[in-house]
Amino acid sequence: MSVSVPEARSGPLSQLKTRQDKPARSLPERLWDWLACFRSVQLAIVLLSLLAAGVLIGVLMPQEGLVEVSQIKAQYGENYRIFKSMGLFNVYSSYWFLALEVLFFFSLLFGSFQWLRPAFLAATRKVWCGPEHIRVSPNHFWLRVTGDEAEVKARVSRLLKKRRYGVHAAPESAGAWRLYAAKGNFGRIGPVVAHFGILALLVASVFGAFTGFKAQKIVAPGEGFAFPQFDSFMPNVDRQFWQGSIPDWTVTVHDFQVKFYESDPTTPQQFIADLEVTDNQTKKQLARQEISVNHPLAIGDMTFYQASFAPTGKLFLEIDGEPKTVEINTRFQDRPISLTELGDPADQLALVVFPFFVQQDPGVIRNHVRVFLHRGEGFVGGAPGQMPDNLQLFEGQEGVLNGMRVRYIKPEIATGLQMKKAPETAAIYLAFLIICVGTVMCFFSQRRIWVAIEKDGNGEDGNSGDRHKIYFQYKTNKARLSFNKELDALKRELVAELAPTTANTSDSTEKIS
Amino acid sequence: MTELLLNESSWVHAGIVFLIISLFLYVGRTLTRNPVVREMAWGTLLLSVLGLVGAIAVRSIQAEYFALSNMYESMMVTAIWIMIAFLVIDRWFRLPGIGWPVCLFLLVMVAYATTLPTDIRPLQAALQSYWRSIHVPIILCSYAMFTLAFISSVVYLAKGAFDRRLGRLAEAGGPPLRGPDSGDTLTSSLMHRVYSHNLEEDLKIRESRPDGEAVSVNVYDEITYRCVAVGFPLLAIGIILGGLWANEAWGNYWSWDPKESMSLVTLLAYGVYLHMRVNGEHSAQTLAWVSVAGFVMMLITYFGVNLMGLGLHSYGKIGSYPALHLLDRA
Ligand code: HEM
Repeated sequence: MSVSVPEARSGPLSQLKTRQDKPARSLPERLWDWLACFRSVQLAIVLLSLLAAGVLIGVLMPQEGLVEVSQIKAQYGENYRIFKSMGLFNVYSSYWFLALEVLFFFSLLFGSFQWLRPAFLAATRKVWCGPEHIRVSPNHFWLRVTGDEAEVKARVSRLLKKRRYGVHAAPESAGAWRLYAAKGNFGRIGPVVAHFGILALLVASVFGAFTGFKAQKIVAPGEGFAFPQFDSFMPNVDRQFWQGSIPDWTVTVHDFQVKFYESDPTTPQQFIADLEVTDNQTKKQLARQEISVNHPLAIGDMTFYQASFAPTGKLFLEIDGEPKTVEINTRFQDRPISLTELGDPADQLALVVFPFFVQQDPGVIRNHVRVFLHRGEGFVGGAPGQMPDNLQLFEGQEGVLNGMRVRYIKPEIATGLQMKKAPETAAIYLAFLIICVGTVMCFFSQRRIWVAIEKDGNGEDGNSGDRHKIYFQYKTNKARLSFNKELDALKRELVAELAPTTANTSDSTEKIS
Repeated sequence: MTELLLNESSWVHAGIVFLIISLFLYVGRTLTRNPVVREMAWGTLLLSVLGLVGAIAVRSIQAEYFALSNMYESMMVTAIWIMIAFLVIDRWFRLPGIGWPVCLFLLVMVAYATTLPTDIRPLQAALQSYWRSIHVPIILCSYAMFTLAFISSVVYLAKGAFDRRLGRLAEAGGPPLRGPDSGDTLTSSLMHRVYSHNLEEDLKIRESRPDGEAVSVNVYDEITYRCVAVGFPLLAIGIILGGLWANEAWGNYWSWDPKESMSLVTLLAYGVYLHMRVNGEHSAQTLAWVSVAGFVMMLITYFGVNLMGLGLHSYGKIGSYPALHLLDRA
């Protein structure tokens, strides 16, 4: 085999660098240079660590909003005020955390501008190297081959292409045969894409903070309301800075149902509200749709979520076959109850209903009521000191109380609607997509191989035209292990393809040591 | 027969038995470096993963939803991801020293999982979403990658400590050259002598930094890096999907709850790792420690927020799946 491969050497490249005298620089140039400090990965490492530490504090310390303030005070006693002033109970809106985020933003912003060009160039620029360059590189090997020069070149090219390298020969004007082979160029752009995505995310969320809002409204079925008559309205930033707008719409809830699991009647399976939204200006219907948990209604940048449910206090009954709606209107021993006069006011007869609701009253597994009759000063029926006559009725059940037929149909349940305006949504989704694509791109390595050829020997043996040395220089930005595996395979193939005319095996082995 | 096939625990037991056999074979493989043992160890681990996949499949059929809603199920799925990822890595890099620690870790993990409550319960309204079956497995896959990164860092650190004790590392001329693990072609000895590496653990790969100075690359260090390089985008995507899900269901991408925040800490910790790596000024040993720290963050995310009741805000206990804490807001 006529293959020789010298030991890799570390090149004295650093010594080749020459110092240049700096000409006077303009102000923008100097500013640019100064911003270069943001490019420092060291700064990124420090900022990422500090952010991680900050978020960690937010996890370890009880945060106001998640935990009752009184509980925190009890836990921390005298230290409460000190910790509070350090923002430890409100980490995510504390000044130091905000400052960290701003710093992070600028580091990312100016950093990105700074590596955009180098990364883009590394991914797109083709560079060719001659043997004199490759020889001093620490990552190179060479082969001594004998045979037709054109054939050798074609084979090298083909082997690299087979490994999916994009192979580019130097232009004629370069005067010599050189190859530049690269693959995974997009991997080089990955970090730029990922960081750009994070920037886009930060910008989009700031935009959303100044233009978006959240609002809540509890609406009984059959009723509606016009914007902005919300129960609560929360712009994402302080009102005085808020720049957004509220659409002029009316929302009607046509129907609302809560379904429970049959196997577990305390776990709601789904809440479903039938919504209609109309534009007050055009009087046009914008949407009519059922919404439920995980299935909100989106109209442009407004979204309607099914957030919760709550009894309105209305109870639907039937008394002697006649529909009767009663309302919770008073309290009895601190329990909300309904007291409704029946018949002639002179009779002083009243129906008293104690409602019990799943998920509101402890231990209750099905909605039901207890019904009493009340006349004058006391309950009707029952011995003194004992529970007066009453009926326990589940939904749909009927019973007879003092000769009166009472049926409990159901309680009225209102839907808790949550509304959100988020003009930034599309931008956020786009940023998410960019981050995902960018971080995945980062996984791939950019691998580059430079090839050059040089005549070997000077004709003593009479076939100088046939003897060549081919130089290979290789480089990857990551995934060194698989790259080395690939190189090993490539070398094996080169040996098999380029050295059919064995001439100097002993020579090659000697050269290695 | 169908009864046996539809019995979840027979699948789990088969998986565990194969895992134990695989552990012994991987120990044998480290000691002997015999290619037959290597193939057998790999094959048994493959059988083991099939057992666990079967168990989850049977369970899903019985529950009528993708069985990934409590701690037991999530640990099983994580174990499956670890196994699959390791099978790929082992096929690709054939590292003799890391198989048995991985198997040992898996065995402890699966054994612990089987002690957790395994009853099948109906799903809350908030969890009946296709997001659940995308978001959760992706996060668990990233956890699997970080676990492998952790194991390979520990192997690296342990080996370093061991080598230092033997005083081998300081020797001039570097470590002795050894034959490759895999059977190689006739050019192999030439290759090794020239490139002074053989894809094996204690050989150094000469590579260059941008300034042209040669640095050595350790195989375990490299495995850690590649695992983090896979885990990081997965975790980022998983967190983003979680944000989308929360936004769709509750109208909020992010609400700084301890579980969410802790997953962000984990992401940032591995971000620190990646940037320290890009920087190129940190030793493989420092990087291995950063990877261990990232793993600790991951453990706190996975268990801590629930078990320790961190931030006085613990959602559910073991038995209800932690990452699905969001349902509390429904
Ligand atoms: C303080 C802000 C940050 C700065 C200044 C910064 C800087 C850098 C630099 C200079 C690189 C190397 C780029 C290259 O190889 O061409 C890099 C890589 C990277 N950065 Fe950042 N970064 C920052 C924040 C982040 C954040 C928050 C993430 C999270 C998504 C991130 C994810 C990455 C990834 C995934 C890589 C690629 C790592 C690899 O190639 O293995 N960076 N960063």
